[in-house]
Amino acid sequence: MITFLLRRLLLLLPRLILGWAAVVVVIEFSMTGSAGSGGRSPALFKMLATGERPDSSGELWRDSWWHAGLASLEVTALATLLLLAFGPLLGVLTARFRRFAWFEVMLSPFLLAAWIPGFWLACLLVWAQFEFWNQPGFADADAATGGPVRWESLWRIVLVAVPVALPAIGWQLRRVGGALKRTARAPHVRATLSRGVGGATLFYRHIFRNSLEPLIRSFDRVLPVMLGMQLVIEWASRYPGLGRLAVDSARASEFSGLLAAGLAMVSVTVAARWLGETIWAMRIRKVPVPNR
Amino acid sequence: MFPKVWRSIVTRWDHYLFGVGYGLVFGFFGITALVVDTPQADVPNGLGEVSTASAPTSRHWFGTNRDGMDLLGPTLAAAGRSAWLTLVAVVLGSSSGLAVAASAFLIGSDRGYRALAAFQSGIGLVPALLMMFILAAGFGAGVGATILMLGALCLGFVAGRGANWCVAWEDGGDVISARALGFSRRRILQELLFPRLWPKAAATAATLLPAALVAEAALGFSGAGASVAAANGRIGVMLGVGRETMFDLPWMIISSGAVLWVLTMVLAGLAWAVRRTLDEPVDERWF
Repeated sequence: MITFLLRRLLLLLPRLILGWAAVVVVIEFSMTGSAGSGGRSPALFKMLATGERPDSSGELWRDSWWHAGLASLEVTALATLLLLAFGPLLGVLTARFRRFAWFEVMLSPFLLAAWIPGFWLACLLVWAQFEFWNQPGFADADAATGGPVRWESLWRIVLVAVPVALPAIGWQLRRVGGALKRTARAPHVRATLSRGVGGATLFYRHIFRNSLEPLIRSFDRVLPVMLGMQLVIEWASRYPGLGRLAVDSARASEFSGLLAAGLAMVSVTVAARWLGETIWAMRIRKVPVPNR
Repeated sequence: MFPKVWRSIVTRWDHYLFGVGYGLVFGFFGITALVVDTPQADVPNGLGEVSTASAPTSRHWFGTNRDGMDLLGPTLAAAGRSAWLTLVAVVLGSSSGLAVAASAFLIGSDRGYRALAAFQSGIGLVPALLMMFILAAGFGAGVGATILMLGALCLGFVAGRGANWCVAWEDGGDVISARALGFSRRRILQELLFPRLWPKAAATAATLLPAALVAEAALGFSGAGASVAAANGRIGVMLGVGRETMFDLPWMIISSGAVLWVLTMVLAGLAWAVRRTLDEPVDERWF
């Protein structure tokens, strides 16, 4: 088992390096544009590593990156939790009960949410919070209630994470439902159906089990889209995360915030794909090979 | 090959319906974009300003801005500009992606399109929106730069997926038989692969269209690359202005966002129909 995990870890490292290299190459290419004013990538790396440039708040750039990364990680974790809790479950139920009109009606909000512009939804939440509850709208506003500080910060994380997760749940639902439908067209399912097996037995024993790989792997396919949208949503809600850092950098045609966000996001997506592959590889290891 | 493609277009009614559906959407929004003037940025400009803004009424469905200007026309016009810009980018990018995938098969041998598929799989890990922000920081968010950015992303996506499909189809019995019969790669591509490749690429492009529209709006909304060229007169900018005036004139952001959402859903609905017709067969209900 340890050898297996070490071998998998060896696969992770070159992928991380390639992902980071892709971000650096795009940044270098972008710097050839007329507005590039952030210096070359090595200078940016030095700046991020040493924190030699203080930002407007007087905080070192390195600290600012670290705090923003942690704040974004909290949002990503909550959004991922929501995504994993609702996406696969609803996707499987969609495939199972799709012949019933009532179920499709019940799911329609999620299907509509797949195309909602998340940053617009975030703005509406900010506005509604201020308009109807008389609470500070943006995530960086002063607290208006006397509740415990931790609860207020949690509430702000929820307000950012929900618009991030909602479209991703819609996408996940479609992806899971699509994977199950594709398996339902496979020859072995037709053969089982012709033997008189149908309903729940056919679905769970023959279709669901044979779709486990795309189901496990579907999470990391949605993650890059979700993280990209998280950047804009964090900026729209004035949440002090990597999104704000990156978008403010992009607005000023300055690349250090973009590099920081890019490295962090690529690390998360590469790690998620690696995790999905490893889980699937572990499952394959457990399947006994029949003696011939 | 091309007579075949043309015949399949002119003999199938559903293709006419897609033409009518897309024509209605882009025709309506395109005409609106041409007729209505560019909306002016409407941000608070200090105390003492006399505001004639009004909330939505039966006369002004989307309300008015501080100058008393009705927002319905400018919002639809901005959506039209964004939709047309996205359409041009997606069509250019997807057709180039299709050409790249076909060329990789034709001249690159097996290694060519396998490398393309691996490249797409790897580059797919970098969030596309982040790439757009990075590129916008250097090249701005003007019309040309946005078309090139969105087009390049579509090109990479369609080329990579096209290469993946070629990898899968090459194991098919018809391609193996054709090779055994001594067909050249050009003939295999022309007679066996391309007739299957273009419907899938068209379905992918149809799906990319609403996603690219949201990405374009996100770019304008956040003001990325604003120091180079502002994305003036587009729906994202209207949303961005709406965010600035959110607590004073909330209808600005509500109406422009709702138009974007509805437009995206209409395009997604059409994309679903295109995909069902060109790409995935209608599945039977077994369970």
